[in-house]
Amino acid sequence: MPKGSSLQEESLQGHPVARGIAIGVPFVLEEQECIIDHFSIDKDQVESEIERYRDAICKSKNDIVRLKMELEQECLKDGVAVLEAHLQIIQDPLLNEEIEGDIRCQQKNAEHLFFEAIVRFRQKFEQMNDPLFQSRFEDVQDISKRVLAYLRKQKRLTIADAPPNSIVFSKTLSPSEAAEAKRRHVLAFVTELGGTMSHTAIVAKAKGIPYVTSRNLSSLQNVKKVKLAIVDGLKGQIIFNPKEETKNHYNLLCSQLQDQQKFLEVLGNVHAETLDGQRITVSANVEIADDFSLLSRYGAEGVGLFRSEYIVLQRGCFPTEDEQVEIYKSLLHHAKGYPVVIRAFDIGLDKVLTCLEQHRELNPALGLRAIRFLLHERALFKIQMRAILRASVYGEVKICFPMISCMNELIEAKKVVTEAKKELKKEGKPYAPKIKLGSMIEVPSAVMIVDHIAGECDFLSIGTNDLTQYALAVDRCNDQMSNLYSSAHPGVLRLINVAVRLAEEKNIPISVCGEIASDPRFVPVLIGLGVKELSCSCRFLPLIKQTIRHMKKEECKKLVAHILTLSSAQEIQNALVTEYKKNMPEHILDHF
Amino acid sequence: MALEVKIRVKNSLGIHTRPATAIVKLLHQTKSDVTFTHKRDTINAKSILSILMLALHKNDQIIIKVAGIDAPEVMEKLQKGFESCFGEN
Repeated sequence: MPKGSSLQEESLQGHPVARGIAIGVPFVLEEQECIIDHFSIDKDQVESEIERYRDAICKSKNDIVRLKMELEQECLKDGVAVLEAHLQIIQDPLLNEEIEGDIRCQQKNAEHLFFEAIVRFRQKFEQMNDPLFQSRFEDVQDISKRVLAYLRKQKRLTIADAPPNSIVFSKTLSPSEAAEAKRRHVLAFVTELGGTMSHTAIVAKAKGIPYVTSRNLSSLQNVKKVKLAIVDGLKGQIIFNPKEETKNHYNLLCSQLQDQQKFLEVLGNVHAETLDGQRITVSANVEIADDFSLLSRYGAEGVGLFRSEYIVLQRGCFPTEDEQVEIYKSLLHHAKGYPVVIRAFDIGLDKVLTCLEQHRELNPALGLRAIRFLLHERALFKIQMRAILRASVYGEVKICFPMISCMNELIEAKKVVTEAKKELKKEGKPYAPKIKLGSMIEVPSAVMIVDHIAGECDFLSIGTNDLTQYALAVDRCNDQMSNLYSSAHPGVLRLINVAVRLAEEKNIPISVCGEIASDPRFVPVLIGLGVKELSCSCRFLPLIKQTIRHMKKEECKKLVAHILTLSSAQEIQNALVTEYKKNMPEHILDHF
Repeated sequence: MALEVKIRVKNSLGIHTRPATAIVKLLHQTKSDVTFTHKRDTINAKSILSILMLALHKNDQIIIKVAGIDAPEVMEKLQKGFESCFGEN
């Protein structure tokens, strides 16, 4: 943490959420949930207090209307729907009549009574026995923050006040705050709390704003004294008061990365083949609808992984069948005839219930998520399967089940697809006759039974992010564990090796998605292991293709043979960097 | 005039935020008082928070009561809305 008076360069390691580099001036958003004033008012002040309350509601309402218009202009339909609901909540008679009545009866200040009412709502929502409904308290909370800020005496500084070249520092950041950030003004987000998969993270990624979280950001007051900061959204690093040298380094890096991207994009649509003629299919990982149009720009040969749960995270609720059909149809349209793999919602209670502490599972990564959640919420699962099937008439679509850990889950999941098909047939709704079904290989137990899984699937996809987390028993969202989380761990690479071997024996295609497929240093390892399809983030596609063009499959095989004898992640990492530098021309930077 | 009708929720995910928003918006300009009764709870249907707290699921049955000068047309709109799942499904 920066010490008050010193202007010396200081670096803070945090957790990377959204990639990118930003150099700017810290803009600190104060903690909003501080102490709520509590005082009595005289009888003759009652009407003016009610007026003050109405004024705060009116101003908050105007904010939401303005925000809604902005989102409408940007065509962000999901955000508009959320704000539409917020508008109704803020005008809710139940809330407003109650508060005005309380001010009259109890003769207390508005913010105190408003806060108490919100607490009562929270309790009522928590008493409901359906988690999906409980989660709607999140909307009430978001609104209440806005109203309370207007009721407080002092002026509230919001993200909209950020001057150009700001790096926003805050304890937390709500999705609506992130949405409010002006692209030219806000260069990066740094928050103390918040995860890689939070709503806010999605908004940041959608806007292309680098985002880092750090639990060590204990004193925001000290950040205020910092003149300049650098955020490295890839490494998760924050540098305060950078030396001239550091600043120059990052400035140069920024412009080099831009130039390199331009150069690589020119070659984007040329397919990737190693120097000795091994053709590798490079498809894209896609999260949000905004990315669909990037597919052809970056030369994606289809979509290797559509993380469909982002639709849910973005809108805060599950989309209807028709809405899903439209989204999948649009994705297939943008894929221009290439295949699209839709992964069923990889979501758990922790994602749906971000606002309710009591429902947090102690260990969400090991809890009711992905295929387990879907089989538990069968109605939701079937709606998604029906939607995908209905979209299948518009292009080649494949379905992939997330987090399969045993055969039973796979068999049950396939039953749901069969039921969905039967229903559609009965209703006379068309779907493609043969839809390929696949399984994610991301749990070590699944790796060891790939031969059995292959018997029930048409394709497999290795998800290296979760595989690493589960194989190493390291929470990938915990920044204190970041030194232990490494996909270069020999245990992880050996697991990938086993999965590929078993899939080869069964003659079933296996691809790799996940961060390592977007890291050019890992590309030779994956090719050497025999992987023929990689799925990576859109923006990295041109770089990955270019890397493949500089490799020889035979060399890659030798590298793998060597690497599988090494005992530590560090040794493997070093070997990969050396190999990369040996093969790649100097002008391709190794800052990915 | 007061009207009363029993209906069944058809929305596959129940009456969550979106249909609730649609209901409240539909009732905005109406003059009648509108209540929903589900099991033992009766709520003001012009309050989105009250609707959400009813946590209505698919196939739940509710009683809609509309009282006021525009009751017939309000009831018709609501029935149509529930019938068409408020634009969902």
